[in-house]
Amino acid sequence: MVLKGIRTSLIMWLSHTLIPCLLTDGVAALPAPQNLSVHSTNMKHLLMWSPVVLPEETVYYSVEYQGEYESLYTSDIWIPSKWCSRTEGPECDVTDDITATVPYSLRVRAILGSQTSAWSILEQPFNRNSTILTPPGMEISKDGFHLVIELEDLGPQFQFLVAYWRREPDTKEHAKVVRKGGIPVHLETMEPGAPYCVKAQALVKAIGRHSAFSQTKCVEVQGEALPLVLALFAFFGFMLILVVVPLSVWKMGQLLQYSCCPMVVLPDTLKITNSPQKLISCRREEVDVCATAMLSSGLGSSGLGKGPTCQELTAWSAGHRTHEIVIVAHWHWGNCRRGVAQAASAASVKMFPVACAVVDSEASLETSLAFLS
Amino acid sequence: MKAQGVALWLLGTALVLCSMYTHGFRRCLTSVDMHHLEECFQEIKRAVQTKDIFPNITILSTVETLRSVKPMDVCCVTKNLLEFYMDRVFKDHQELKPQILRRISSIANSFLYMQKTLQQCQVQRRCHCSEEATNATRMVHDNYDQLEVPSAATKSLGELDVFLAWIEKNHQETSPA
Repeated sequence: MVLKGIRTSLIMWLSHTLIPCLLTDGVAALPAPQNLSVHSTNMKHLLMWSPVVLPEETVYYSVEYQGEYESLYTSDIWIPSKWCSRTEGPECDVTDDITATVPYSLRVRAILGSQTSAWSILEQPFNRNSTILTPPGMEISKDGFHLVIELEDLGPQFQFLVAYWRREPDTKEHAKVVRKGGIPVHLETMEPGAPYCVKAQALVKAIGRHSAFSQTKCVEVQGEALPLVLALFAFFGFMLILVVVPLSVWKMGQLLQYSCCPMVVLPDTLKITNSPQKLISCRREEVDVCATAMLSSGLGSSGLGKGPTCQELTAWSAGHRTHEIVIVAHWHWGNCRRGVAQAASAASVKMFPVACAVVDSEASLETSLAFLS
Repeated sequence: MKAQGVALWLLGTALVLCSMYTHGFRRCLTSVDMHHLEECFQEIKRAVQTKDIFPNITILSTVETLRSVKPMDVCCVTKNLLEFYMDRVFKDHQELKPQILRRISSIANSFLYMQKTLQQCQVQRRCHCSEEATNATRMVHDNYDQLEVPSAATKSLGELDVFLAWIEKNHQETSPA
């Protein structure tokens, strides 16, 4: 009886000590990672788990996946993850592994040297159509009068639907599909007077879903003040021109008139009211005509020295009223002085009647007949 | 008057049937990103096609089989060929290299998704299988059975580009989503 008891207790003691030892040797006490979860935003899938912490040891992890096809048709096949067949962090980007819109099973285990933990499997298989789609980041700018939009680059699986309108009553909304983010896209040419508003949503064809619309952003072009000022300027400028030009033309005309065809009035003293013969007193026929210079094509003068007598001159001028004669004759009783002759060319002098006047006195006589520059 | 009325009624019915038919047909489309699948295949094409030891035999790409499929039969033929690949080709092909395995997995899972969308049509009785469609499918299976399993699977894998191109051509969406 006692021996039996001792034997059983011995067996029990052995089983309690040896078996656990044998068991723990296989598992090596490396715990499996816990709390597996997938966080997916905008088609970026991140597998996360609680890390296995060991003092002074770096624990690595290995991730494997199995699509629904594998779980249905070839259930023993697990495929190692593209980026996380040996990773340090307690997370893994499985975006490149989840490439179809079917449920995927994921599993993780810890690795320490040659030891590996048991596999820890994600509770619920993950389907990428449960990803959270956020409204896309959107930047509106105006390039002169152009409405330009730049959307966030979310990858090749994303397209965007952009809605834009002019904030005015009775205007309809326009829509445009933008196939790629990250590049500026021209929407419309804006006209001043009202703001233009834009909003966008992301579309993922692979899962047949779209995000909510982003916040509406509005922009306006300033064009009102400037054209108005310009218009006023233009108007006044035009009015000015309308007034100034005729005025200046008229003035110029006057100037030209004076310069080329002046209306000069002969002073009364030189006007011939009666026959020229009356004016000339040819009493002193023997007076020396000291110097007369006559330049006229009609007279055919002899120049200096002996000039025509007064009578000749008068007679000639009566018959040749249209000829230009410029004579300044200077008679001086007694002493003959050479007269100053001033001549002008035939072309520039107008026609004047010749007048002679003789002062019957001993004072010097100056006779200016007619001249004009 | 009566004749006119009858004619109009017939025309109306014909139009309604036509629209129903085309509407139904258009519904049976897969919305998979074919571009991604084609890219996937291109990456493994060389590795798979060089292992093909029977270059003169084709399983899928006979002129009669695919090109002569009528629009009405597209849904049925697509569904059958997807089944063919998933049930036989991918299962029979034993791949060891992880890079190739990943891409085959991607294609296989995409096929599974396509099949699910077509099954909806089948439930709605819009995926009717005519005799020609059934014959075409049977021909493919027979060709596959002519060869030994590993070679047949390799060959069929190598002909995936033909199948993918055919799907893209026949399942184009005419109206935007």
